[in-house]
This record gives sequence, structure tokens and C-alpha cells, in this order.
Amino acid sequence: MFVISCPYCGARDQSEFSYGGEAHIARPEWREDMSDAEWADFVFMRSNPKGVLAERWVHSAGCRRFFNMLRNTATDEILAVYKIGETAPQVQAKLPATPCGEAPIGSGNDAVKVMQPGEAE
Amino acid sequence: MSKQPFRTPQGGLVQRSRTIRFTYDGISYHGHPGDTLASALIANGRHMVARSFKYHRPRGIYAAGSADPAGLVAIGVDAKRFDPNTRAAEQEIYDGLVASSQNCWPSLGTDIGGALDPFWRFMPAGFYYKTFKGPPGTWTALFEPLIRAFAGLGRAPDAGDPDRYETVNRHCDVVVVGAGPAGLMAALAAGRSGARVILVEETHRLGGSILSRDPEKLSLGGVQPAQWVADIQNELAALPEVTILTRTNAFGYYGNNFLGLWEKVSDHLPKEKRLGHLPRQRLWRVRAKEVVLATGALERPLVFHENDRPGIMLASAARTFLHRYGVLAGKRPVIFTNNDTGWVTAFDLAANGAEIAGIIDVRSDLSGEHMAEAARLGIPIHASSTVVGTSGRHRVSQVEVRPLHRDGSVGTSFSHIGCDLLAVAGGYAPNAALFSQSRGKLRYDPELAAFRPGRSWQKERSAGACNGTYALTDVLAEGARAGVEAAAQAGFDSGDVTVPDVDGVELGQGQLKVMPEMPSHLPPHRRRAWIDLQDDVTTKDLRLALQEGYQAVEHAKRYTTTGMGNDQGKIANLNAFAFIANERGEELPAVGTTTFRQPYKPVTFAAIAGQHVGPHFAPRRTTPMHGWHRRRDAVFEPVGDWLRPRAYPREGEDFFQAVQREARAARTDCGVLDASTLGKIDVKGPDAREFLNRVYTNSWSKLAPGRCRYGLMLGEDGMVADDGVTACIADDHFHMTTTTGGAASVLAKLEDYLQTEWPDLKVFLTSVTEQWAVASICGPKSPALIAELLDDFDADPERFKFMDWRDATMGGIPVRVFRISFTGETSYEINIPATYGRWMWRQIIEKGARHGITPYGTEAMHLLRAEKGFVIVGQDTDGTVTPGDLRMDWIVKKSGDFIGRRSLFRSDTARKDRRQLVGILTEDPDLVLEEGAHLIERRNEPEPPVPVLGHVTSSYYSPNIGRSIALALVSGGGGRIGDRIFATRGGEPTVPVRVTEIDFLDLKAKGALPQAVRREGGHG
Amino acid sequence: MAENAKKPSEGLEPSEGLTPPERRTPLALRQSVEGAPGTLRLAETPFAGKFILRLDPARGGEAFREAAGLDLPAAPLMSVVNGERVVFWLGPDEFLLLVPEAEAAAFAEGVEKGLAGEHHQLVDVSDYYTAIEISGRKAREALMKLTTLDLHPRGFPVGCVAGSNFARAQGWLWLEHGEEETARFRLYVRWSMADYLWCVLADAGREWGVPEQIPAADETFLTESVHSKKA
Repeated sequence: MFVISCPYCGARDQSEFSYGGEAHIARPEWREDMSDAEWADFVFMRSNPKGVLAERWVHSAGCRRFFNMLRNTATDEILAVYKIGETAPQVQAKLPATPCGEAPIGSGNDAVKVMQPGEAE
Repeated sequence: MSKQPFRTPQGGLVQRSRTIRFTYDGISYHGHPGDTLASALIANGRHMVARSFKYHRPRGIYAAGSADPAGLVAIGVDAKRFDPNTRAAEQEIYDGLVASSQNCWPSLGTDIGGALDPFWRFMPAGFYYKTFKGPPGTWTALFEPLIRAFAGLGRAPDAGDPDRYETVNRHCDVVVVGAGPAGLMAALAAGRSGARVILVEETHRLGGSILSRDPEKLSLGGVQPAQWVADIQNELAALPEVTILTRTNAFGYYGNNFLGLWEKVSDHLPKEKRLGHLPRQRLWRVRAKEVVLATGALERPLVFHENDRPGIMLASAARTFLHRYGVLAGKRPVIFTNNDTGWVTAFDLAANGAEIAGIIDVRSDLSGEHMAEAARLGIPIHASSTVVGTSGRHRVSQVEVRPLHRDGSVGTSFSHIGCDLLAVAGGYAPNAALFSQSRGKLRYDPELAAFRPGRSWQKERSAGACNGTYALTDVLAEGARAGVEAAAQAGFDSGDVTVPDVDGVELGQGQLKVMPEMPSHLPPHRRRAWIDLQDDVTTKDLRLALQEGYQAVEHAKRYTTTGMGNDQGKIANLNAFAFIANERGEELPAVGTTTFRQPYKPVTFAAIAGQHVGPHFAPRRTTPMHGWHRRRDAVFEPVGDWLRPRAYPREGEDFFQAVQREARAARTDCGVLDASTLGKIDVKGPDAREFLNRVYTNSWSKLAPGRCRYGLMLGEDGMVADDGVTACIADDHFHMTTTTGGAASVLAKLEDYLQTEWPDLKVFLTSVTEQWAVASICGPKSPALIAELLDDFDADPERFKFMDWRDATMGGIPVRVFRISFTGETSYEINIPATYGRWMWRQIIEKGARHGITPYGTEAMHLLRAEKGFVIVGQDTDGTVTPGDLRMDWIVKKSGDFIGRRSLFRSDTARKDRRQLVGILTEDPDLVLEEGAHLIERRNEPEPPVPVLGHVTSSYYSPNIGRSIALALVSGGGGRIGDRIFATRGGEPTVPVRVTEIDFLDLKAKGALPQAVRREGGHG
Repeated sequence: MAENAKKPSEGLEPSEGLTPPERRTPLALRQSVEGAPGTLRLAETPFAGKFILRLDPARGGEAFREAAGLDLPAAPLMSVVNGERVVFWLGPDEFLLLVPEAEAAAFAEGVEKGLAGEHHQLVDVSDYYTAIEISGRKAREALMKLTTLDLHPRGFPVGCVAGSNFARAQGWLWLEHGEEETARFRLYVRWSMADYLWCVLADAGREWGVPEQIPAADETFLTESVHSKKA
């Protein structure tokens, strides 16, 4: 459970919020000639990165507002919260990107949980 | 006092003036307030308390607190209050405490399972995997019951838990975990700043390690340790923002500085003193701005042949029993050590009357001061030696000692030393479990030969021994610094915090000599040197695991089960990692550690569930008419969190009969349904119409005020998501209804579109679900009843037409009346403000009596709508069904966008052979198909995989059609009307069915029902 | 039971044959309960006029003030009190208005009139919500057993309003009065969840002597599919 700062209500427990999927995926305007692929890209395809993802959340138990959030999916670190309609701020993910510094793809379980000789604190 | 032969004449922090009686395995013992079960048993000369997991070897108390690996007993207050796997070293005694051994039969002393022990050589690591193999079924039929009979720990209580539990949320600025010297200083420093502080202590007493020191040889700020602790406790207690939680374990450190604390509120009290209004245990869910970890250090065992007997314990435990509890763990102890703290233990024990039988130190270069002191006390010293074996059946009675050579071998000469206690001192390792849980990265400290906190991930800091700082002066300073820093980070200023002067003997380790396994004259395969006392994992097992290829620590752990007991290997793990590193010829950091996971120690499920059990498990949402339904003995069904009457069986009627009666009455006379649970949304704004056009598949441009329309809502994938009737109140104002279960998600979805996709639309949405109590009245006699109920109301269906709605009053109370129907009958829905709901319902029942009013439940409602061929979203649809699949193309407008429209033209949704909703009539009219039954082309099922045409979604016996009816999704169903196909019936033979249109009332009216074929001899 | 059951305020004549209209709030059958003196007391606050107002305060705030005689809260999570009229901030364009029941109809009419030219929504939710008053010096502690909100005076000052989950039910919590000894909260909860929340709140107060409130949970349930069998 993490703490989310609702842009209206301030810091609240995650249990008050619902997830709204990836942000900044605009619904395409209706066109007769829109291809299946173009539409499917909107309906089904999401980026699913291990790292910083712009996502939508809604403060469902509180003010019921949707907002955007930049979250590092590998660490749950929340890098920014901004209102709908605003552009995502430029952020620098905390280093290391993951607690164990594990690879950008794959599970973190195999990573060494202890520091290696010469590793900076 | 004579009854406690190992109680020291004085000393310790127990309350000697009062005596407590308790029993262990039926034998009565005495102890004092402040004792744990372990300290009291040892005071009575009893060390063996348990049998081990695998070999059923005798197990004693090995450590004096929660790190104890194997001293597990059962505490039984009564039949319902029975706690297996309770650590004797943690359980406080109380008058009348009943403890018993577990995992042994017939008794702890003569355990049949102990007969397994001589066969230890045939039970290697991976024994189960290698042995219990066989054809399918043997595991559950044979092996599992066999293993369960011998292995396993404890037994569960037989009855439900009668106690109350609670979860509590807290926010605070600083959490300090551990109330030893570092934690106390941190709490004091942070507390003085005015910050909100929670100090968590696992035992019932603050003080930690300094309570295990000889009070005559240590003072802080000029006073004895216990006094120093009491002074701080008083100051903390006076600070309004400081909370002290004793008997509380910080078991989990989660993301965003969220900590789980488990408080045992009344486990230490006799049953009659447990206060009913207090919960037995509490779970504190704490969100901290900053955390100070002061969890101390754990002593490491030494690994040698036969190191598992009762009477062998950590030197630190022997000191704790002595100084904290006033108990001499042995009268003739032998000390086996690899560092200086073992010597201090020997001197402390000696000062309290023990005759030290010897100090065995693996090191050759010994402290002159200690040597001199030992010589003064007449203690035999065995420098550069090791224990190579022990004996004693239920308690250690003798150790065998051999000299250690420089090359790592042992000498051939040996001596036997008689003893009743073997205290082992393997050096201290920081207890960094919570630090690791917080996802901090450990650093290997070669000087300590152990891991200590390295790089933090969350807002925490470690102070004192858990940070690898052992000298008391440094510990105090570090604790104070941590408290000041944590408070400052949380925005509070502590001012100056003075660290008390320490006067006395430092408990230094000196030069530590760690050996992964003590050298032995025995070949490795004959050694039984325990790494994990609970799980019976020896060096032989780890060696085998490595040989068999389980090289990674995580693999070796799982293969051997080391560290997998309910102590999670608190004191065993480091030795296991070190042993693996040594065997692999690598350094410890390269080998790494297993993952430290929550919980730190076992937490009861009851505490986690807290108060949210039984009637408080979840909201039971009820309508204003609920009391009436209950009095009418309705049978309920949960719909989401709602309780809805499913039917109202009368005296002597079963459920089926009740449903049939209700469904019949709704068509012959008059029926009433509590429809209050339907979702209702007030839609308002100049763009409301445009909004509806975009969220429903049909057009709302021309719906006039006073009229209603049915709409289907899709997801963007084109699949039916919800449906309902929406009424036009005014040009810019609509009253939308949703399904009961879909109310919340529909509102959330509509807000989503308004806020994020179409912010330009001027529309506001507000839920009004519970503002209105709703009665749906249907049947031929309903117009007459409505006319009686409403004030001056013309209910004539010719003038108040289907899909009209009107404002009206009932008894002067404003209501909204809708002419909408889910049954096909003439139907009215009265919406009245909820506080009048109960009154309205009673009026309907009373006034309706002479019209034959029959309240009907959801089951009859489902049946009635199926007779008419109306779909239920979520029953006849499952998220893969388009409007076309429902053969409801008429509701999809040809122009203009709406949610999901484009998906209806995708190649997949445009497929001709998609499953479509059709009616299904069995040839045998009395046979009711199972919902979910598969439909197939031919009578005889071919070999699997069987090509399936579709499945039954709804199925009933219809009293109004006079036969069974069903709805089904059938491949290309719209084009198959009239076809004869077959329905599966579990293991029974398939039955022929006819594909029909879905409006059965219409089919019946037209005389178009297919010819019934009654089977001879009725049906099965 | 009669405590919260009363006749409508207006003297309307019921249609012939009907018994006179009678109202009942969701907690009408629950008497107020109290623990040791001063610790914790629970009581339903029945029958207040309640309205949800959806309005962009930047555009309609002024008009609302003129019509209603009170300001919209200037900041999130705040309330405005003027005599017996109260406005809660629920969201950036969403407010809960509380007025005495007798004034409710006229109040609503006045607001509608004042906001006539402005895009807004005013919805009567008087029966949608009921309010549970939670008072006493243990009120904060009791509520903290149910919610993740920080109710410490530093985090939740007098006048603060917050939507959150209370046990398993959503609600709006308002701190009406804040001194340590007399903390008085009101929790606005939906009709259907009111009894659940009442019982859980009483359970949270058990340690201070609040009597156990048992939900009426003895309904007969039938969850399996049995409709298909013809007798």
C-alpha cells in the first residue's frame, strides 16, 4: 500500500483510490476509414514498462476526481501527480531505478540483496 | 523457593514476592510475575520442552526471546482458546497457565517418533522429494497422511475463536522499533521535539539488552540500568504525543514507511482477568514519516557435532535468564566461545554461584585480562580447542573437547567435561530483518563477519547493535542521533540531547574467530552439526544440496528447508549462508542472503482480520423495506453487497413453489418488487443529451420530457457493459438507472469520460441510488392499484403510456412514477424518498390485498423477464457479447459515435458465426436444463475436444408458458431458429432441444411453441 | 423506534384510505449509545435537508452566495457554517449543502433561481445520506480503527471534511467541534450502509464501554442455483 497525493485532497492511503490505466491515451475521433489496427491500438495496447509510467488514478472514496500520476512500476515510487489536461512533468527517476539495481527486464528476485565490494552506499 | 532449584537467591527483575502456579504437561510448577514460560521452566530445572520437526530429537530453550528456534509449546486456556506453536521464551506466565508439549506421542519424554532419529542417515535433504514418489494418487492417498502424522507442528484448536481482535490505524512522525538503549535514546530525542512518536517493544518491559547485563557492573548516568530505563519511561509517558507499545512486535515493514505492529493485549493474563471490552490482540497499521530501527543484534550459534541437545543455549540467553529473570540456566556450565563475550558470561554465571566447568575458546590469542580473571576464579581454560561432541539424553551432561590445530584439523587427544549447561557464544550479528524488509541493501562487515545495514531505500535509519554498533556509549549516542535526525526530517527540533555516561564493563567481542563449522575428527557424513534447530537441517544436508546442484542460497534454502520454520531462521540463516559460501569457496557478499520477508514472526490471522469478521465482515446493504422482507420470511440472496429478497416462501411452500406462485401472480393479478437497489444517476447540464448519445448505443436526441428509453452501454471493446432505462426530466436533465451491481462502476466510467475525454461537455452526474425507495408494481390489476395509491392520478395505461413517467404525490408526498417494465406486463415503478419507503411499501401491500398483490423476489423477476426474452447483463452476457450477439441491432444507431462503436466493425465482432442469444426449448417440456449446459450439434458426444455450439445462460421452469424455457448463446444462433440441437447434462445422456426466438410469451400467444415430446416414465 | 419516526412537516392530507405518511431513517431502530461518561457517544442525526451542489465555484460562487446566504468553502476539505446552514467541500466542483429540513424546499428553490443562468446541478440527497454523530474524547481513536485518515488534531482541524473509507463503507467525515474533551464528528453515510457502519463504530467503542450493537444478520440465504428443478 502506498500513499498517493491527490492533487485536490492531499496525501491519502492508496485504498481510497482506484486505478484508471495508462494515461495520455487519447480516444481517436470516429472516422469511417479508421483501420482495425488503429482502433485496436487504442483499445487494447498499453506500454507496460518496468520503470516510469504515466497512469490515471481516481480518488474514488474522496473527491471522485481523476488525475495523472508518474509512477515507477518497479519501485512504486511516485514521481509526480498532475491534473487531467496537464502535460506530464519531466522527472528523473531516483537511482538506482530499482532497490536492488536489477535488470530493466525480468524479475528482481535473482538480484543480489547485499552490496558488493566497492559498491557506493 | 525450594521448588525453583535454579532460581538465584536474589537479582533479576521478576517480582519475587508473588508466586505464580502453572502447569506444563500436567506437572505443576512455580514462577514469578515477570517470568516467561522458558525462564520459569529453567528455574525449575527443566530445559527440554519440545521435539524437533523431522527427527523428533529433544529440544530445549536455546534463546531467551523471539529468536528461539525450537522451544515451541501449546498454550491452552480452554478448548476454544488453544494456541499451538507458542514460543516458551516469549509467553509470560500467569496463574493457571496450562502449557503442553506438541509434536510428540505419547509424551515428550518417550516420543515414538524419536525412533526415527537413528535412521537420520537415510533421511537426507530432499528426502521427501526422493522417497515419496509414485503413480498419480499415491501422494494424497498414502504419502501425505503418513507424513502429516509424523511431521508438522502443533495442532489447530477445535472450535471457533471466541476472542475479539482489532486493527487500528495510526499516523506518526517517528516510529522507533525496539526499546533497548538505542531505541530509548531515539524515542526520547524524538519525543522531546514534540513529534508524534510510537515506541515499539516486543517484550513487556523496556530496556532491551542492558537488562541482560550485570547491574552491579554497569551504570548509566550514575544509576543501574533498570533505574535508567524507568526514568526514561516516565519521561516518555509524560509526553502527550508519545505512545509506548509493549508486547508489540513490528512484524512488517512495507512500502511508503508503512509498518505492521502486532500487540498482544491480553495473552499474558489468566482468562478471568482478560477484560471483555479489550481485544485479545491488536494490529496497528502505522504510517510513519520516519523510522528508527533499533532492533539489536542476535547471537550466532556455533556449529558442531551434536550441538542440539537441551541444555545447550546461547551465552546471551544464559545472561538474560540470569540478570533479567534471576535464573541460573545451569549450575555447572561449560562455555564454548569464539569471542570475548563468552568469557563475560562465564564470569557472570560464576558470580551467581555457578561452578564453571570450563571455557573452551577456539582462539589461541586470548585476552590476558580475561585469562587472569578466569584463573582467579579457578575456571579451567581450553584455549584453541573445540567441542566435538556432546552427550545426555534429555539434557546435555557432558561435552567432548579436542585441541584445534593451525591447519584446521583437530587433535587426537580429547577430554570429557561433565556439565548441565553448554553456553555457546558465536559472536553477534545485527538484526537487520526489518531493514531488509524495507528493501534496504545489506553490507557485509568483515570485522563482524556479518551483514549490517548498507544503503537505505526508505526513510529509515538503524541505530545501535542492529547497525553493527556494539559499544554501549556509541549505541546510546547513535540512538540519540537517530532520534534527533528522524524528528528533524519530520519537521521537529529536538534541541540538545545528552547521552548518559556509561560506567562499567563493556561487553566487547574482542577478536572474533568465525568458523562455518567446527572442525571435527569425524568424517563429514558422520557429523550431525545443526544449522537450523527447528527444521533439523544439518551441515550434511547443506553439503548434499550443494553437491546436487542447489548452489544458490535461495535454492539451498528451499531444498533443505533451512530457515523455513516459523522462526524463519533468525539465528540460523547467517550460519547457513556462511557455510554455503565456505563450501563454494566464495566470499559471503557474493553468495548473498535469502530474502527477508514479512512477517518477522508468525502473526495470528485473527489479528490480521481484526474486527472485520462475522457480521462486520462487509456492509450488508439493505433497502428501507428490508424489515418487511425479513418479517415476511423472505429468502435472501446477496447482489453485490446488497441483500435482496429472492422469494417469499409461504408456510408449507418450498422455494420452487414460491417462485412459481409469485411469477404466476405477477401476470394474473398484481406483483410488487423492491427495486430500490437499482443504480440511479441524476444527469444534468446543457450537453446531457449529447452525453447520453455518446454513452448509449441508441439516440437520445428526440426523447421528450416525460418519456423514458431503454439503453445499452458498451465498453470501448464493443461488449455490452450495462443497461437500464433513462427518463427525460427536462431538456437538460435526465434520470438514469443502471443494474444493481453496475451502479458504482457505471458512475465511475461516466465520470471518467466526462473528466478525461470530453471535458468540454457541460454535464454533471450525481448518484441518487439511495435517495429513492422503489416499488415496481406489475400485472393486469396494477393500474387500479396505482390509482388508489396515488393522489388524483390517472393511471390508465391508455393515457399514461408505456415508457411515460409522471410527477405525482402519494399521501401528499412527491413521488416519480415510471411506466417501465422488466416483465412485459403493464407495470409501474413508484420512486419515493427513501425515508418514506417502508410506509409506501406497507400501503402497497395493504391496498393491494384486494387486487391480489403478491410481493415477488429476484428469482421470479428473473423468470418473468426470461419469459419475455429480456436479457440480464451479467447473466446472459459475460463481457464477450456485443449488441449484435444479443440480436439487438435495432438499438444500435447508424450514425454518430458512441463508446465502443468502432469495435462493432472489427473483423472479429463482425464474424458471422459469433454466438448469438436465442431461445432454447427442450423437447421434454418438464426438463429444465442446467445454466451453463453446453450445446452440441449431435446427440452423441464425439471424442474430445467436443465442438461446442454454445451454452445455456438462463434456464427456468415457467408457470406462465407452462413448460421449461431457456436462453442460450449459440454460434450463428440467429440463423438457426427452428434447428434441433442437443444439450449436455453433466454425465447423463444429452437431450434434444429446439432453437427458438427469445420472446416466449409472444411464441405462446402465436401458438408457435414447438410440439412437446414427453418422455415415457417422466423425467429423471 | 418512535424517536426518528415522524410525520411529514407539511400538513398534507393523505389520499383516502392510506395511513398517514410516516418516515423512518435508516437508524431509526437504533437508540444512541454511549460508553463511559465523556468517552464516546454515537447517535443518528436524522432528518436534515441535504443537497449535492455541482458547480464551478469560480463561475457560480458569487451567485450561490447571494442565493444561499453563505460562501462556498475557499479551500478543499473545508466547510462553511452559517447558523444552521453548512456547506462541505466534497470536490473541486462538488459540495454538500445542509439546511434545516423546514427550510429545505425554499432553500433549494432559492438556489435554483439564483443559479438559473449558470451550469450547475442541485440534487436532493436528504434521504440518500444519514449522519452518525460520533462525539467524546475517544471519538478520534474510535474512528481511527475504521479509517486510514489522519484524525490527529494536527492533521484534521475543526471544520475539516474528508471523504474516505470507513471500515468497508465510503463516507464523509466532518469535525464539527474539536476541543479534546468535546470532539464531535459527523459521518455522512449512505442509507444502505448506515446500519453496518453503526455496528462497526459501536464495536470500535467496546473498549470504552459502548454496548455491542449486533447487526440484524439472521436472514435466510439461498445462493445456489435451485430454480431449475420442477417439483
